[in-house]
Amino acid sequence: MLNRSHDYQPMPGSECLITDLGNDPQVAQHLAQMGVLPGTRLRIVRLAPLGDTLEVAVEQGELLALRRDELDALACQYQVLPLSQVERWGPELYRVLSLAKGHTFRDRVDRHGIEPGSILQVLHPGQWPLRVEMEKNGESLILGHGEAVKILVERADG
Amino acid sequence: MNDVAKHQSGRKIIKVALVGQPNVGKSALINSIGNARLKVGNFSGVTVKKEVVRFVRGDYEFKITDLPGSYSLTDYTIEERVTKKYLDEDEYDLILNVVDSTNIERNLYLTTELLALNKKIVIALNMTDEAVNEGVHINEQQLSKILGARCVKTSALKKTGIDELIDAIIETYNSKLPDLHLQFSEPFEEEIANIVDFLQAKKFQCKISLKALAIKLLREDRQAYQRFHEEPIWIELLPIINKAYQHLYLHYGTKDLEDIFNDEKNAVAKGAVAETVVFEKDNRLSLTDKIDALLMHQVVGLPIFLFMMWGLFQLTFDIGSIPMDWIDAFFVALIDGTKNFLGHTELASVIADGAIAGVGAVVLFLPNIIILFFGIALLETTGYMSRVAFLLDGFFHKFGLHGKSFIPLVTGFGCSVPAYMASRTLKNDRDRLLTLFIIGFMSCGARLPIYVLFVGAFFAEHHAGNILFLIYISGALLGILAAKILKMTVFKGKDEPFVMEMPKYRLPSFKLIWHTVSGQALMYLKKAGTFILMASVLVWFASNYPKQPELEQAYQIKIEQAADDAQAKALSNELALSKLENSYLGMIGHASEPFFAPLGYDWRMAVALETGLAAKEVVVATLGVLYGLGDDITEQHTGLIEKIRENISLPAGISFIVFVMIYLPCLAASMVFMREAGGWKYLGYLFIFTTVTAWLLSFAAFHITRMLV
Repeated sequence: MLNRSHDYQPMPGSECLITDLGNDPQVAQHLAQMGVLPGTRLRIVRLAPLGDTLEVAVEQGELLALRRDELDALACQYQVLPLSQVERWGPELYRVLSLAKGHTFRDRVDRHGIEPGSILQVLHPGQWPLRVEMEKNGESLILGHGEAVKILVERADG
Repeated sequence: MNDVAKHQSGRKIIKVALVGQPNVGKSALINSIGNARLKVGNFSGVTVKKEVVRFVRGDYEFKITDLPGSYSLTDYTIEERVTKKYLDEDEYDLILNVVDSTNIERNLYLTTELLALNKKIVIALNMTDEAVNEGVHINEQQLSKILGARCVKTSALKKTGIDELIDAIIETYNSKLPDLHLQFSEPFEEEIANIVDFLQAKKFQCKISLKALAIKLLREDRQAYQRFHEEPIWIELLPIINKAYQHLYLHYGTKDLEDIFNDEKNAVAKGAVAETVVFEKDNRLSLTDKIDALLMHQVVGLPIFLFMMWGLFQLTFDIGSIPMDWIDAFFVALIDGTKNFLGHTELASVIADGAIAGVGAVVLFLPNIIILFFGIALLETTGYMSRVAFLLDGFFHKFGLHGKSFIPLVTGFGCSVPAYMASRTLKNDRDRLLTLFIIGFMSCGARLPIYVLFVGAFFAEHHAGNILFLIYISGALLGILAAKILKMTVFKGKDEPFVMEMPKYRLPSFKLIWHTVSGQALMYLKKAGTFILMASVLVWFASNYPKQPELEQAYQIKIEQAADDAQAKALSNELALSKLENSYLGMIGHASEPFFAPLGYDWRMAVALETGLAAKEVVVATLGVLYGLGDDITEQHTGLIEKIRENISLPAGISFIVFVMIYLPCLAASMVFMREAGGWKYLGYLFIFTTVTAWLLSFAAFHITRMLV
């Protein structure tokens, strides 16, 4: 579950658990000073408008700005991801944690009964549009990429 | 207490080292102490600002040294090095550690390191009011017990807890140094004990406690190592230390001692927080979140920022013009008064036309400088500046710059001198040099008078603000373009890691803003009193000598024979001009004319630019001397605009603006640049780089404008 892949675009709302500060002592020292240590949970808050700088929240709520290069140098386990990126976890069951704003989007997910706490299964991870099955009634629906990024999920183990 | 220092008045002097992480309100805290006297200087060897505050309380005189904000005591940044060196080597009675209560865990990392020094220490839990608002409750008695150091809740903003803090300092000063309270993990403590036992057995004498020394050795502290190297005991100690390292490596599964110590610090801080702090509700960031949702918005964030900057420049221009009129009137009166008082002598001329006129031209722009610096300080103290660095980092990074470069660059709009100094926030040499090289592209406040003059001469008044904004923005864009080119050629290499704290939004403290603004304004005035005064007198001399008695006599006769007043006036103007043309200044101007001719400048503009190397403000003063001659002095300011309009074509005027935007900053700034960049050769590079760029772009501007008009 290590993430060092460079083709992965971090999305706001994703959360990860730092397992190692990586091999660059300069980066590691910087992060440690700011309170980012192995075992810390980071939440990606937002991306900068132009380019690959991102804002993350550390556990206690402190906010830091860092770049993709620094994030990629870390070893981290993602624990919350947007539904658009769950292929990193493989075909499993996911629990919906939160839904982004947007009228049309909310209307559509409401109609299908997707709400925080719902369990979903992605049928063919990595294939777009995404085919999702609701665990509670077996109903399946198709989500576009723009919709999938708005649904934050965690793995529903067992 | 064998080393009690006594003041001549019989008061005991308490020397306090003030230490804290950045943004914890250290300066605000000492500023909130009444009757304090501030002395600003530099730490020896480096140009990090050193502030010493003195005040008297009862039988004690306090001498507090404000050390630069540091996240930890490593050798990583210049601020950290200064702080560490001071704490290790200087004489002080106790450490006052200021802690941000709203961010206590991370702040305690530094506290842990300070405790490991085993000195007397008092901890100020600052920003208590904010912490309470955010639902963070700290049990300071419990925390004092755990850390073995007095903790006092304070609020610099609300001025609470200040007296208690001072009492705690006096009490701690008068009590015995307690044993080191800090408890690390078992293997770490075990190895500390081993080393201490060994040193005790050898009866090793040391200024600091043996436990503090052992911790330093286990951290591979360079200074401790170096000092120990010369001791005979070293050969026996080394195997013990090596064994300790092996033990720690094994226990932690890493060979990075810095990592291991970070873990230890973290554990201590976490433990202390868990036992003494209650987080009531989880809405700590709700307000900051809401503001950020707007100000850091993907789409509207940048436009909002640009709008704010635009507004700031408009304010600088519009409001600034009101007191400018008063200052102008004052100096005109002063010049007249001086001349009346001293009569028509050389002395009167050098004082009135040289010194007062030159300095007056500089002081005239003080209101603009104050408004601009006020705006920048406001953005900084509220926490918005870090957001801007974040918003711009993506963009800046593409050009090889760092989001943090934004702060020195934006300061460059005020004055290049503090901007060069602000670039120290960049830790990587290449990033810093690159930023230093392009700060000059951000037009400083001193160049404003030149723009105001030329924009006033060539554009309608209601366009002035917009044109000015355009000049500043295009200068900035040119700068980042230059950065990209430099990054691809001269400054190739890996980027510095980008990890930046985003402080919570804070209400601005106007006392602190005033502190900054008045400091900057004083520096500007100091420059006016020294460099510019000197340069003005020099320019006056160069434009009045060598004397040409024959020429003067010839004209004097002609003027006496003139038919009417108008002809006499025209003749005396002619005399003044030819006198000037044959002066040293004229000679220099003529000599460099071929260099400037392709840009559309005559010798007078060339001279003005050359005197601008001393200080940009002098350009206007020189133009005043060169074009304003023969005019009634009371109309100097508007008169000069008229003269510029009459004598300089629009293409040459625009080309002149472009040259001023780019070429070498003033003498004072150049000296600071040299010091920050690290040598004369960099100043040489900067001179060549800016001159070539300025020449080429002015050449282009001149010819393009000529084609369009």
